[in-house]
Parts: sequence; structure tokens; C-alpha cells
Amino acid sequence: MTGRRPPWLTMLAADAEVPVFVARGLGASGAASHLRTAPRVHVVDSPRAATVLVVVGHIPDTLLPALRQVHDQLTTPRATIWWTGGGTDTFATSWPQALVVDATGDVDAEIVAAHRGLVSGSRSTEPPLLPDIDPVEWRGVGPYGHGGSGMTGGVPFGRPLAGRGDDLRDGLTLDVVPVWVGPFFPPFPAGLSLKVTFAGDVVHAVEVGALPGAGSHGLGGQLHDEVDAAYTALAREPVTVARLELARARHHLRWLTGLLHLYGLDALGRRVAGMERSLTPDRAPELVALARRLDQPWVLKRATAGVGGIGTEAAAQWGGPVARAAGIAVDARTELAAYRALNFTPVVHPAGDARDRWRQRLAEAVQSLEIAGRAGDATIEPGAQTEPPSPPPPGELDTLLPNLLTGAEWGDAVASVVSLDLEFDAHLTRRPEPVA
Amino acid sequence: MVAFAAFAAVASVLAATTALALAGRWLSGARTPEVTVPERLPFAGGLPPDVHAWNRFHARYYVMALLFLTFDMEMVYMFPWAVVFRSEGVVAVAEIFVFISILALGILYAWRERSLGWS
Repeated sequence: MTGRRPPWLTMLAADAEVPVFVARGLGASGAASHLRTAPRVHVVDSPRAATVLVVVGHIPDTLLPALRQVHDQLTTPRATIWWTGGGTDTFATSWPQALVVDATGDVDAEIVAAHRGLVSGSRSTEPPLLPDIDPVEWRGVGPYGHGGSGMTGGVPFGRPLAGRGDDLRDGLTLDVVPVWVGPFFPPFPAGLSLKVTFAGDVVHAVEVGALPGAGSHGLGGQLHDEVDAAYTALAREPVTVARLELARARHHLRWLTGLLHLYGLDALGRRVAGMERSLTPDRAPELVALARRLDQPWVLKRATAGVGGIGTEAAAQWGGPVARAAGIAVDARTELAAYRALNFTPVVHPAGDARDRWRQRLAEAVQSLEIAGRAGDATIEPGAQTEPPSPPPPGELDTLLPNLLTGAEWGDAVASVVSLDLEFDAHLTRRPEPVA
Repeated sequence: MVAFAAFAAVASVLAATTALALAGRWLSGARTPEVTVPERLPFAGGLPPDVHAWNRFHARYYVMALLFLTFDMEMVYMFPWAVVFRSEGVVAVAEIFVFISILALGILYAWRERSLGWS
């Protein structure tokens, strides 16, 4: 199909922004944020709109079937690039077409090169990975697979029709549709899959799918950078307070770029990402100005106020910034001598909704920069329990998430999940079960 | 002879349109790459769907449509009726009551569905 186009058209197409779908593996929050703000790359939210699939971080074996499915959902011509840290030797058997870029490689250049190759015809499209068979054949109730009652007469392709459920709003009952969302749904944390039952656009019920387990076997390695390294290093060696706090501020800003992308504020997100990469303690006033700007009604205030409200009891179970955004002044740093010497007191916000959660994180980033600026060479001893930028997901996730999301409209539900800043990769805890 | 010419014209138009439709079909088939079953599935993050995409959903505006229709029909027929009922006499009065009572069934149904209260 390629090769017969006029050369000027090929040139124009090759120079366009590359539509990229990012499949986030574990340990790649920084990588996802980098790609969202890379100049020649346009990160899209569906593989249908993408030419290049970029797989970042570590993909456990349990997520590989879903990743193959996402790969096949890219439109042709397509290419796959793995951007991962280490562990590239197993690709030959599990993913033979992989073009692997390691942590130090120039992934932007590779993406543009792959796109150009596809457009000019010098690189052929990747064939589908999954076989062309339906999981279950269409069969009606008759002896020749025909007929039946109702709209379709039977169970089309092995999938029953949606059943009815009570309505949560005004009593008019609709069909409720259960849909598995994730594990590569872009706004969700890597590896999170939810079985969401929709009644129209309202979340009727939520079931949390199996999460990637600790130390799981899989493809590629985590792409940790300074932001993750500061806290993982604390297990082995003394780390300065300034380094930890700068990493915390950068973590919060990275998370904020994701939230801004969710609300379509990509230009602001790019600026925040730029700030994040060159963050120094003296830039705290810029963050204060940013917080004021985001809290304008037409920017984030109206969209996030009252969304995903969490009561005090549940907030205590979530812990970390989510708890502090609900008025609970709990912070492991108050127990550490180094922080006490710096007169550290936790920031809190009262409302416990998504708006207070992003305000909380920005306020904490400002506080972190301020502490980093005057901490001098104060250090934390290895093994000390300090407050991570976001705590591990609570064990009661299976009840906490459904309680939070049920009854919300889908847009608000996604914003609620994002506002929690769940990352399974940073901790790799929880059950090692296969994804359903 | 004239009849034959007319049939020939119709037949040639039929043949031409059929050929055009088949040509379009062949062209679109030839230009579309083979798409496998996994490539056809809707995207929701990589997991296969549990239920079929065909589902019924509630047309919530239907009570509004029902109420509009009943009152609108009443207006549409009662204006001309009001012009002629004196000359038509008792029959016209009886007929309009039958007509209104049929429409009133719709209003009663809307009432039962609690769509007349402020929400």
C-alpha cells in the first residue's frame, strides 16, 4: 500500500507529530510524564489513534495477554518500541519484533524514526500477535446455530447481553453494562484493572481486578530515575533531607501533569513538566503562583470541587496526602529528628475531595522546596521510616475503591482514581494473582 | 414497442445501479486491509469484553414526548372541531369526548410513571 504515494506527501506525513499510545508498565511514572511532554510526540488515549506503541517499564507476565490485545488494536501501519531498563534478553522468545531502547537511549528519536520508516515504506507494519479466531463462535438456539428469542437470539460470540439493574438516580431502570477497564487504560495507574458496571454514564458497581504482584516475572525492567532513586536509596545509605524533599516535590509535579492531561490542560501540563525537570528550591514561589492559577473556577476548581469526596475514616486508611487532604495531620516525618530540627509540621486541607487533594500535593511540594532550601546537609539514616511521596495502596483497596467510585459519573470516577496517586510499581506489594 | 423500450430503460438503470453498488463494494473490500478479530475488539485497556455491546438503554425523554404528543394532538384537532361542532351537533360532541378520552389514557400513563411532578 505504501510506496506509490507522491514523495512530497510522504515527506509531509513523516514530519507530522507521531501519534503514540503509551502502555505503562511498572516503574515508569517518569517515563510516561516524559513522553507526554516530548516535542515530536503526541500521546493519544486510544491505540486506535496511534501509529507507535511505546511500552515503558516492566510488564509482568500477567499483563502480557492484555498488552498483545492492545498491540493488535493499533491501526496499521504500526510499530512497537519498548523503553525499559534492563532485562532485554528474554525479548527474543516473548516479543520477537521488539525494538528495545534502554534507559539511557534516545526514545524520542527512535519513535520518530519508526514513524518515518512506516510512512516511507522502508519499515513494514507489524502483523497482529493474536490469532484471528473468535473466543466463542456465534450460535443461536437452533440446530444450525440459527434463531432464538430476543434481540439476538442466543448468546452472540459467547457474550451474553447486558442485564438490567436498579437505577441509582431516578428509578428508571436501564441495562447495566459490565466493562473491564484497564490494565492499560491511560489515566489509571499501571496494572490497575476495574470491572466497572455502567448504568448509562453512572458507575453502578466496581470490582477491583487482580493487581500485578511483587517481584513478578515478566518483560523489561523498571525505569527508575532520580525521583524514585532518592527513596529507594534510603534503604541502603544515608540520604540528605534536601534530596528527599526535592524528589517529593518532583513526584507531586509529575502526578499533576497526569491530572492536567486528564482535564485536557496539556499546555499547562507541559509547563509543569518543564518546571519539574529543572526544579530547584528557589522556585517555590512559581509553584504558589501555579496553585493560585489552577484554582481559578474555569481551570480546575469547578471541575474537581466535590469530586471523589473521602470521609475521615476512609481517608485514614488511604494515608499519605489523601489523609492530609481530609484534615488528618498524619505524617511520618514528624517522628524524625532531622525534620523536627527544621520545625516541620504537616500541611492539611479540610474538604477531602479531589480539589483538596491536588491543592494538598502542590502545598506539600512548596513546603518540600522550602525545607530543601534550608535543610543544609541534614541527613536521614538508612532504614528510617520517612513519609513516601505517596504511600503504598492500602490492603482494603477492594472495598475502598468501590465505595469511592459507586454512584459517580464516569468522568468524576476517573478523576477520583487519578487524584489518589496510586502507583503499584513503586512498591510492588499486594497479591501476585493473574489478571482475570 | 414503446412498452419494450420502457422496460429496457428500467432494466438498464437497474443493471447500472447494481453494477455501481458491486463496484463500490469490491473497491472498498480491495482497499481495506484484512482485520482480525482481536483488531476489531473495542479498546477499554486490553481486557476482552464480558458482555455483548448490544444493550438496551432508557430513552429518558419518552415521557416528555408522550405528554407533548397528547396535548399537541388535542390542540390540533380541537381547533377545527371548535369551528364546526355547532353545525355538526351532538355527534361531534360525542366524538370529541371519545378522542379526548383516548388521549387522556396517555396522560394517565404519564401520571403513573410520576412524570407530572416537579423533580
